[in-house]
Amino acid sequence: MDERLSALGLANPVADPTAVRTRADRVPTLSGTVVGLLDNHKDNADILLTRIGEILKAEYGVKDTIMRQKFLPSMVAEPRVLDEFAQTCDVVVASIADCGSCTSCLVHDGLELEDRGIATAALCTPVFLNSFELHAKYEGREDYEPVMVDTISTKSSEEIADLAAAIVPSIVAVLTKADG
Amino acid sequence: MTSDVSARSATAPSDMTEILYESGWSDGLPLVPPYVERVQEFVEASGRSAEDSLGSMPPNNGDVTIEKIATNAVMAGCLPQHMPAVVASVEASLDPRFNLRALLATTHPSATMVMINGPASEDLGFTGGSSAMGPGNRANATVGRALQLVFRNVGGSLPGVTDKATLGNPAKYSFCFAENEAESPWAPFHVEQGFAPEDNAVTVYAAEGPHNLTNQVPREPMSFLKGIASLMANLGSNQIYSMGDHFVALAPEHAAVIAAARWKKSDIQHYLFEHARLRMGDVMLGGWFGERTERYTLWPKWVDHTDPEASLPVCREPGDIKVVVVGGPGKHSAYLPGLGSRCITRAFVPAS
Repeated sequence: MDERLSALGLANPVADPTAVRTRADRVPTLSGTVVGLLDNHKDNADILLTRIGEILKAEYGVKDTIMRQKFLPSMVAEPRVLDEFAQTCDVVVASIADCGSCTSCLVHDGLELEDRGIATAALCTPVFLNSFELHAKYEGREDYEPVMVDTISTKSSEEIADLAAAIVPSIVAVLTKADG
Repeated sequence: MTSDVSARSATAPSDMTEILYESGWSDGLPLVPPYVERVQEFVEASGRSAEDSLGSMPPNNGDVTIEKIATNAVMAGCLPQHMPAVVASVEASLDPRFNLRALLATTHPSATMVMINGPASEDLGFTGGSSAMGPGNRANATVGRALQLVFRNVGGSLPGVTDKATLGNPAKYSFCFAENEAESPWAPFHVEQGFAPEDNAVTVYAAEGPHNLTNQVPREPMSFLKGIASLMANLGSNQIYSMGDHFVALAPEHAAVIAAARWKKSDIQHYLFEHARLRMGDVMLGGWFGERTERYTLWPKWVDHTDPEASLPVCREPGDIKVVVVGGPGKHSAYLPGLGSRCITRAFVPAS
């Protein structure tokens, strides 16, 4: 707290963040890996993830993909879903931070997976980047950067496919880039 | 903590007001200075120690200690005797079923409504009578505000950054009232939730705010409740998608008409569950997923998601519709739409 405030005899109403998180190791390559796809139930997230999975298999040698769905974008993922990903997948792609509550929950889900040792690329729209960044900082992972993508809720399947193709290189970079 | 009395006395009240604004602790309204001595009084009134923790609060995972709650309650303008209710409100909001993480981050405008029940309500200064949801009562205004300040300063909820509400909601400044138990024909809400009549309790609900129901000629329950049902079933509702609890606040005069026909609360809930319905074909026009009805996984399984003529309820069962009695004379009741999470009730023991 500001020294001037404590000198006036004021108590501090603010609590500091307490979370301690760990950064998961990245994989050397996606070739031969199993990729988890976390559909947070946001509009068209399933269509975007499906196309991302197809591209990863066709162009990056991914062996398989596993899609799981949350009940609501505004709820954190059930631990059993995260545990399943941790047991069966090498990395995860999580879509999409495109509202306030879903951004908070998606950051939390991504960092829960990172704590479980699974590198996780979380997708975020520009409008919610400031929220994503502060949530990551609150969670003790200021370094946790999203993969940026335009909003998909009102786009056609063809437009979403184009967006998927455009962001896959960024997803691959997030999941494979050297530690540190 | 140390205090410098000379520095404090040399600070003009107007300067202190500005200092507190500059601190970043304010909701936009002036704050009462949280002097350490005053905070200690509030801690003592809670009946707990300053270091006692209720856990961590999202989104910043701040440690929710009694001292932090007391500091924010002082700033909100509470009295020491309000502390047990404030602490219980914070505790209720931390229940996972309330989904505070979503509430504090969502683009939806829901705020945290606090309702007070129990025999101590009046002694503590709360009102459930005329203008219960409006201004003019210190206990109502400051206890609701204290909870919001805890969200800001302990939870790190910052409008425009982590609180991404598109429009926001005036209820996010404060939204607290008592149930009008004296004029309710039914058991108090907290008793329905399993608490004893002699208990005191708070209930939190993620509410948009009161949507008025005017009926100046209520003659019998069905025609009156049809109006409430029409407010509950609308195409803009967040709860088409998220379901969850709903909240209905009946004016005493309206409640009396229903009770005179020997209706129980459960009768009201069943009627509203049956009549607050949406036509599936209309829901397909908008909502969250439009025609992609397979994405609405929270809808009851017994509703045919593919039939445009199917009748969609706004919640999963009658008990999800919470009904209370609030307000003074007049024929205006209210439906309070919600975020789609659960009401949570917690007991509190008034300060001795």
